Amino acid sequence: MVGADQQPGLLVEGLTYGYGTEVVLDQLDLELPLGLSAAVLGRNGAGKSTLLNLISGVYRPHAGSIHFGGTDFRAIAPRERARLVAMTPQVLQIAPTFTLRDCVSLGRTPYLHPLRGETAHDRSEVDRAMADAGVERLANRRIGELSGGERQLAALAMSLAQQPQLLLLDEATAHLDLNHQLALLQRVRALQKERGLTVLAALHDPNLAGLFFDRVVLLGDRKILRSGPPTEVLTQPTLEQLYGAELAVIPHPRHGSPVVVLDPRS
Amino acid sequence: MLGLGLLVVGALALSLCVGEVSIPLSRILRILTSEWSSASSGTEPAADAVILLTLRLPTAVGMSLVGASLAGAGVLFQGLLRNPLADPYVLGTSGGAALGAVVGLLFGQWAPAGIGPGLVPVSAFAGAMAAMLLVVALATVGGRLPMVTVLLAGFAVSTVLGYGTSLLLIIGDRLMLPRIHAWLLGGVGIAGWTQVQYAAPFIIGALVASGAVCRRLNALSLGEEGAARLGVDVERTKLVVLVLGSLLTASSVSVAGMIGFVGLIVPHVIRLWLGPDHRVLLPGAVLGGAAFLVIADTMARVALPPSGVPVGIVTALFGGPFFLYMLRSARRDYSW
Repeated sequence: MVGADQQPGLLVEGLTYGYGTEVVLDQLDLELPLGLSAAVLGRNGAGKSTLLNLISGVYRPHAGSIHFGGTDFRAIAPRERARLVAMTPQVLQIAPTFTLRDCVSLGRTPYLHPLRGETAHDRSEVDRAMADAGVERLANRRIGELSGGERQLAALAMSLAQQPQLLLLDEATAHLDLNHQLALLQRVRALQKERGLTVLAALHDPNLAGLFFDRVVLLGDRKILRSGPPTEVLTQPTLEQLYGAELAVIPHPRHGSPVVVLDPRS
Repeated sequence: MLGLGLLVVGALALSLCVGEVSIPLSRILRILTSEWSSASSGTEPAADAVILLTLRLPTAVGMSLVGASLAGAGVLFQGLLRNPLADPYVLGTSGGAALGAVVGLLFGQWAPAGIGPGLVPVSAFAGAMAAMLLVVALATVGGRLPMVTVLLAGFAVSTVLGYGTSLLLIIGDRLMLPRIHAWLLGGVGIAGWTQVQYAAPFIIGALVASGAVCRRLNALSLGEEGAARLGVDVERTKLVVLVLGSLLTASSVSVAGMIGFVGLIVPHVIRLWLGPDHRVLLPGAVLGGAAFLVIADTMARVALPPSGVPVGIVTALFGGPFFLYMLRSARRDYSW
């Protein structure tokens, strides 16, 4: 239930989806108040990316509904949805000869009339998105010349150019070194705090969930197993059950957030 | 872009001057400006004026339209499929248009006078659309149109259509219609304005409409899911682009037969030069395609006089090596 002091944010009810005869998500319910961030954890193939693709509108649910800020996504056009929700993919796929600026400008697509060019407002939003993602100095470089970490920040900038209220990150840090993992998640955290962005991120690393997110959502068995603050959800028995691996959970030396390490017992 | 525009004008001028009978540029301008006055005064027009107005001018205009059209179709198909090998031939639209046109030519022999010439473009377009719809129907899996199956279906359909056309050619040979074979090699003399008049409105209309899908093609360079995340209606965009591409292909085939390489190489050359943004790439390729085909046609006409060679041979012989050179000299920058 939405608390009295919290505005309605993301509300997913009865979401069902599958590929062919295989059911990936079955009657999934999820709730995330406006302005909070949540990390979705689960095994490979648990349906984390599927969930994000359903919310971003790439896939159409077989059943169930998705609301954000009181808006029913079934009732709005794809363009309108793309102004509310942006998704940063695991890997940015684009012709490598595009410049970073051209690429980020694609984020303005849901705002543009097909026959008219970009306005001064569009260009200033692109500038702002590049600054927010920390890639403005790379604006005229070609995508093919960028490192994997820089490309990922470019993908984040493109998402930000959509001026979304809900930002989805699909394993956005999976291929990044520690330096770029920190850079990307700190930027997202800052934007969440400054702009009231709501963030939902599929993650592989539970330690990042403990450090940078308000909530942790465990996805398994085609639905949400548990959901809550990191200290409540990231516990040894819960995570051992989720991942089917022998684990230990210790407090972070500086922040006290849960740190998960492998703990082989044989 | 201005340079490309000047290149088109230069190519047109060259094409009007050069031929079995050379006509100097000053004479061309005089003929063009006095065309109306001499027609109304009833005087016998000079021989060079007849050559210019009934042969060279329609040929030059027709070739520039065909070049623009093929290059535009190449940009659309390559952008849609995100595949550098895509062009009207791969998708089967060109083969469908050719088969349709050959059917039109065969039946045009027996059609009442006045209907014959109009039959070719109409049946070419019908063939291109039928081939395109067949490819789409074969490639549709569960309400979606995955590009891998589009390419496979396009390949299969264009192969079958190619042999179907060959069969009709043999029948045509029996009926002593040698025109068809030469026409299939591309660009046998555009005589008079008839073919150009039929095709021009479709080519110009489809190119203008293509301008409206450029931004969606840019979004599609993020992949289908990437474009969908930006609010692009991917399935509808695919349909619009396929219809426009088929229309362009059919129009150009009905004017000038099968001309290879233009739809493949011109977009690549322009992309290497001006970058991958379709809002620049499409107009660039349209101008580049027009200039390239007009120049190639001029060379084809002056080679092996008096009849010249089909322009498709020139585009392949010169276009192929040029493309390979571009690819090698820019290979570090160029990947899809």
